[in-house]
Amino acid sequence: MAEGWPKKRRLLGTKVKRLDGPDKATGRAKYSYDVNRPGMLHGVMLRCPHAHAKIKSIDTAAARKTPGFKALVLVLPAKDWIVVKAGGDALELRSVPNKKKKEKEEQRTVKVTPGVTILRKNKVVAVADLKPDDVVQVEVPDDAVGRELFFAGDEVAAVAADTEEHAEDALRAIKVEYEVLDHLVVEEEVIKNPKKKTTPGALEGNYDTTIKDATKGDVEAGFKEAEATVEGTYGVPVISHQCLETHGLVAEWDADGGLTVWASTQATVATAAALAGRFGLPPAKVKCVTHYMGGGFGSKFGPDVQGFAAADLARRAGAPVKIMLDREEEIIAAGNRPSATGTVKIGGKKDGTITAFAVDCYGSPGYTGGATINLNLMPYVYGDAVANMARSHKVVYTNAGVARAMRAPGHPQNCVLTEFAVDDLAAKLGIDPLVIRRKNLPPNNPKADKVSWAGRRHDIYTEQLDLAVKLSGWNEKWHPPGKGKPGAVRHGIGMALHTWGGFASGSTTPNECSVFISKDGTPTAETSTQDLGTAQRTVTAIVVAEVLGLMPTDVLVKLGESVYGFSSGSGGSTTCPSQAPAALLAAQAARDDLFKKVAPKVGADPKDLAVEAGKVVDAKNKKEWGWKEFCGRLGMDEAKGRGEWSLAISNEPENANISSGQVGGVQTAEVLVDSETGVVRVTHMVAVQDCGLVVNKLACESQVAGGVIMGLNYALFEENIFDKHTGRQVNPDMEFYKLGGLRDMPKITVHMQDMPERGVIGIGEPPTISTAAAIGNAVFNALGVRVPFLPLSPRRVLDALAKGGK
Amino acid sequence: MELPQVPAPRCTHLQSKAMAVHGEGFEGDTDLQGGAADFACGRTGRALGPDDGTVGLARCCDPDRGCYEEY
Amino acid sequence: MKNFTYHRPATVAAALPLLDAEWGKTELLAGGTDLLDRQKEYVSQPDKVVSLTGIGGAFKQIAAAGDAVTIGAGVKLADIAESKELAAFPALTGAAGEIAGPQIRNMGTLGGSLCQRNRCWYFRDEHVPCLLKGGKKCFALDGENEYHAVFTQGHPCVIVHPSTLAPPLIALGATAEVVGPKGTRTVPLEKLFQAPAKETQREHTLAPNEVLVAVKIPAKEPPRNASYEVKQRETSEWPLVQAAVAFRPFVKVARDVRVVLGHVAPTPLVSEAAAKALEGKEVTDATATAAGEAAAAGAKPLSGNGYKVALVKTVVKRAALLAAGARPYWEG
Repeated sequence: MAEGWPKKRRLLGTKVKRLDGPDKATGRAKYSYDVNRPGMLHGVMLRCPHAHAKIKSIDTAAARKTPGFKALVLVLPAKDWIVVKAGGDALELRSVPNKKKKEKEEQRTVKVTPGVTILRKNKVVAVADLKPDDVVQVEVPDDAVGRELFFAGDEVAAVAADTEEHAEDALRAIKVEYEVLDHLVVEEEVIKNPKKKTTPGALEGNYDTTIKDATKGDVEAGFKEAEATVEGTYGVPVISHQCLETHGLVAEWDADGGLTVWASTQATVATAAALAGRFGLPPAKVKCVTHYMGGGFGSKFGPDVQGFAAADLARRAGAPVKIMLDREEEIIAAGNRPSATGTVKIGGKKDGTITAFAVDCYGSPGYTGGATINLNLMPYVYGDAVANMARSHKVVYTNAGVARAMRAPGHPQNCVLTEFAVDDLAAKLGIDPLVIRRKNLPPNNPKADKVSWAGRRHDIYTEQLDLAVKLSGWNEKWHPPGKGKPGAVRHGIGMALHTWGGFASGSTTPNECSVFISKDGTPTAETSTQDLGTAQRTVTAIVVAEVLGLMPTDVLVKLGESVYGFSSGSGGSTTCPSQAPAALLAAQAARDDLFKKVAPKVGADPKDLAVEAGKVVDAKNKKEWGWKEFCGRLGMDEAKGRGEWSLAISNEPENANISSGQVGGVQTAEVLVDSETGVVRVTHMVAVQDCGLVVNKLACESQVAGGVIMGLNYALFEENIFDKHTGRQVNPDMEFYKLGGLRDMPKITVHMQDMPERGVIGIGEPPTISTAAAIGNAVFNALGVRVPFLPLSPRRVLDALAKGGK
Repeated sequence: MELPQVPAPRCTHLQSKAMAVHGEGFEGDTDLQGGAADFACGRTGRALGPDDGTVGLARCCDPDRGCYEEY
Repeated sequence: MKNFTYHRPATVAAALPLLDAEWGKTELLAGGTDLLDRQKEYVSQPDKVVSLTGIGGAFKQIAAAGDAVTIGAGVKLADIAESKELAAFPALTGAAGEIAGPQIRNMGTLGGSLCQRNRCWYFRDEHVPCLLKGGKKCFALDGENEYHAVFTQGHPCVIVHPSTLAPPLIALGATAEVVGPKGTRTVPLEKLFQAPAKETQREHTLAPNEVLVAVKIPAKEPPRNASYEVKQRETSEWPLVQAAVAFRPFVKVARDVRVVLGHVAPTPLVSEAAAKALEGKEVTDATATAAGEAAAAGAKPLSGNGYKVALVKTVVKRAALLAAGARPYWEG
């Protein structure tokens, strides 16, 4: 059996301040945005201003002459060619044969005019430099003619210049003529015109009605059995990740043809690998550095078009190039959380049993993509307790930027569509919605391991509901919808549940962590993983310190460089459950190596040695040494250990419950709604959350509070608004794309459940899932009228009151 | 979550968040199984391939597609 | 942004010759919280920027003298909010203290608040050729207009005037002091504003070569006064609608009632109907409600902003009650 987590916990589960807090607060912490390399140029992207267009012509001559201009790149797919003949201003090329396919060889002749760029081995070359059989890439401006662009913001080109201002000037000197085409940006307009096609792909129109039908049981019988049935249409809009640090990177080539990028990314290893693939480099020649990054929330897993452009500009200009998106670009082009609008029918009994559930919904992932909710998980949380359900989903493509995973993809949407219906059903049945929730919790699986989620999920949810009820004062505060204390300002309370995975990464290459102990007693932990603001740096330090009897501040953590071994991208709340065990194993192995190397020098048997706080102890011979004293005996030796972890490793029987997965969560929201202004104020949020073994209680609570804040913004403020005529987003900013500030925040009560027997589980995503649904239900409870669409703006609240009567 | 399967052959340039997080075990990603598609092409950096066609598991496991490149 | 020459004159007199007779090539800079945005978004591309930050003396002072308090156009919003000289005008100081957030209030000025350009998201998008940028149509009319005007009087551009200081100042009977090549003129503050419809018009009536230097508020027997606004968020937010109410208490009733609406029309809007509903009456829940109804009558909402009509009723009612010293029933 693996050693696993220490039974006696000194640091684990306690509140530990972030090691990098002071550096972040003082500005010492350097984000990609802060990196300024010697001779660095500033790059900026040229974007199509039309929602749907084709390039008719592109003229870069004037741009190349602007003051400070250094390099230009057209956004075109890179292709390798083999030189047949090069002379004068003509270049004869043939395609690189793809032996696996029976592909005919392509030939082309390029007239090398001033706008044409030739690259060989990542360097710009002239025709005169070329020899037959050289492998080159060519950029020919005419290749851009006819390119179709699918949203306002779609990338066309990029320039680099010596200053930001000069880069903008050069950009604006590029002359592009567009053939403006028809667009569709309103989902309902797409549905009304199902055969109108303005987006790419094989569909006839923009509307994918391949109805993903996942029916279970007998829905009709279920509705007949119901004592009450309600039907409602609810919806959530497309919203933006709004990472505080935008997407981007600094790219620098070195004299050996290697590439270093300082990237704002959630995946140092994958980003380096993507760049290696794009520029034909061996992966070891690309390094991605991300010591600090200002939020990703699922949108930053690779270099993206602007990262490729920056590296391309850098190789052409022979100088480092920084491209960081501005706020408008960040919102329109760097991903979004897709929308969902659903008509839900739900039937149930007075004892709370849900007898049938039907949902038909649609949503938009932008101009391409897939489903916007996870239909398999409907009705959300309660699915395994409901016998009869019918579910369908249609995808609506619009001329808008493509969706990317955003903190618990699909789940917040699932939650709203389910929990709004639950509360509406409760109102019709005349019961407290808590009754429905308790009655339809997913059951424990008696055959499953009692420690696992499957074996105890009903118990966990029950306990969470009890805690949430107690902490929120639910039983004292709940009243039937609209029946609170009369007055202009109405009080309401609402609730919602959620679930999430948070297992270790399923990668067949495990996450690595290495720990080195040097003779001065300093342990160094090295991992390529990234800290997105998740306090991962501190997690690693805590785990290593726990094993070595030290304090987290004693541990030197080197993190966020792709060369420090393999790590998976920080998504799916998989980082802590992958990295913490890797650090645990590494620290234990380093400790054992330390004992092995030093024991002979101090006359001890390594088997008799143990770590205690600040010291090493030989219990058998009743001897002890201070930690530094003991390590000092290493002399020229270095003690080290390496740890690896993955889902497969976690599933090995001897590793049971070092990490595991699947969590629940309950949130309540208390609101005051001013019925004369429509303004909603959340006064108190309660969030009860489990995540297995809590490594850093403070960071867990911060993650939960942060998730709640994000969910609150989703409920009250956020939406991407498009104009149907221009096809452009009207609020790609922080002025009319609204986020709450300090004065908009409620009291947030976080209750972390610590379940060390389950091992480490990820917590990044679950706490943002049910917040918006809970707030929406609280507003319904306050007014007695459902405001069915987020955000719950004064406009929507007043419109709902006008429709539903005060 | 399921254990990693051996995924079907695909274009070497296909990228997705599921792959960045779960490597070759990406097919076990629950979002992917739910139909969500966070895919991009490693040659273009965006959700359309070098042939301007859409990017996705089915579309990028087709050896007859012009831009398809096996490992 | 487009490059420009920068001038920082030490007096208003030195500033005037730097200005043009036409709009477009030269812009005035005070706190910069509006102009910088417009330049970075390429909505304004001046060749020349004339900063007023170097002008001292009365331009940057609040002076109480005799029957009036004069606020220099260069006075910061934060200073207005905290000014002891303006303590009798909570409609103004309260409104000033609620503007946006501390960073804006520490940089933004009185002149900037009154003379700023509108916040319409079509106007602020360089790729949208709206009426105010030489284009042929107003995009908000049949577009996204949830923040736009509900009183347009048929005007082709449906912006709202974004100044939160204008309604209380107008309600308090303020006048504006304007300096130009022909000398100084004084105008009632409500005459400082106009509804623009083309590129050569702004939201105010100043000529391109004039500078607003001060606003004067009559201070003899200050009226009861209050401003109330509805905002979706408490932080960094524009009001959805605002009302400023002022009246002279006479025994139990209100006289010389002034009701001014903000953020509902292309200019700050004096509501004669609302004033009439309160004139000579005691300010009660019933009469304040009636004033709200009167203020909202005649509103012609657009496709997306019908909710603002209800808000107009609320802000007028609550501002009237606050001015009368009533307990705010909405604060629980």
